[in-house]
Amino acid sequence: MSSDDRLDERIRAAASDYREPPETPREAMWERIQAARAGRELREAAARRRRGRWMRRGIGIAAVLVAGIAIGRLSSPAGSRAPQVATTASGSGAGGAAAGRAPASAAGTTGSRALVAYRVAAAEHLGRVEAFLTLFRREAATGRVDGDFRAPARSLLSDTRLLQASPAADDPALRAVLGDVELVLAQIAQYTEEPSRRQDLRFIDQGMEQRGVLLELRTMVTTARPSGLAQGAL
Amino acid sequence: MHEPELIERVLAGDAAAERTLYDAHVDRIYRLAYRMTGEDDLAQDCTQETFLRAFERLAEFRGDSALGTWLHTVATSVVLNALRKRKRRWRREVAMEKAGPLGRREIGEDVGLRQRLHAAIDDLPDKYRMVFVMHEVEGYTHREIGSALGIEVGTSKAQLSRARARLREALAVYAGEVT
Repeated sequence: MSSDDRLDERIRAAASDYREPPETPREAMWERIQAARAGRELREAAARRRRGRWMRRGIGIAAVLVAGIAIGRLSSPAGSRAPQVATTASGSGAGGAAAGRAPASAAGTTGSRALVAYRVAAAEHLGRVEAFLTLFRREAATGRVDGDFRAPARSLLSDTRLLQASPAADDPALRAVLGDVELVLAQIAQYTEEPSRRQDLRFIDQGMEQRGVLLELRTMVTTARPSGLAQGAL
Repeated sequence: MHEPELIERVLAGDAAAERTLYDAHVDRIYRLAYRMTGEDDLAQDCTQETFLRAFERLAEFRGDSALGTWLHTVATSVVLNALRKRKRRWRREVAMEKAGPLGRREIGEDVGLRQRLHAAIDDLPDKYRMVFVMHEVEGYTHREIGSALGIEVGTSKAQLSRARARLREALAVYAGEVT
């Protein structure tokens, strides 16, 4: 037997009590496993409910947008698209309030009906974005933001881009809000929970704060909702 | 109860079967976790996480190996992750406290083989240490180690051999006593 073998034997013998474990705390660990499983199930159920809620809202937005676009196309004169109308509607002022009132005064024209439809869709959409961002900021403040926010952010982002490409975005005030909203939603849609991306949450929050996105949204939601007459146009 | 039947019952939500599965494997997993971490709290956390993952992913178990082997695959992954996290935490704490370097302990000349050996095992890289502890301390076969760590049997043997060589090096001072 070589000296290495003899040393190995001594090592093996001496290693037998390396970090000798105490008796296995079976019951204590089992209880915690059961509690953790129950907790995970509850969290998963809550996440499923959240996903379902946002999915339903997404479908709602999409439906309003589709209706708006369809009405817009059907009511536009042949060969001309809503931008002509949008110029009429938003020409009286850059503010959302002014733009919001304009369709009512021109409700008799087919073009204004189209614009009203787009604005209804925009107001609905911005209301949902506002609710989403308010919830996001509240969760971000507690550091509990998880991947559940990505799917609704992506859905809202795609609706925002639809609106940006629609005649509703011919209103400069609305276009500016949609631009800000697009940026924030894109950031949230890309946010991951990796430790190296944690500071992104702060950047998103600071960006919203600096640009006053929520305030802008609330103002726009309040003023951009078409009047009863305009809604009747739908 | 045979293993496939036990698994089937666990998958069907049978709480008693879950407990049977847990009782059959918890000792070995806790012992390994404790030997690797040296901390009761961390060993318990690793054991719990192993069973949580196992219950969550049991449907993915295809029966290619014994359930115990599969559980050990989960356990070794959980333990190695926990050790990596602990090291990162220690590094941060040491950096904050500007303490001396981690790892090598000050061991007096008069400290015996056993204590010196234990310190040398502590200083092994985690993967070598895992193989050494599983084989030399807990009595796992190279086949079991290979399956648990996702390595070939030959790799397990080679890592054990390297771990022993490092320990011999660390204990060279005692070599004269055994010749």
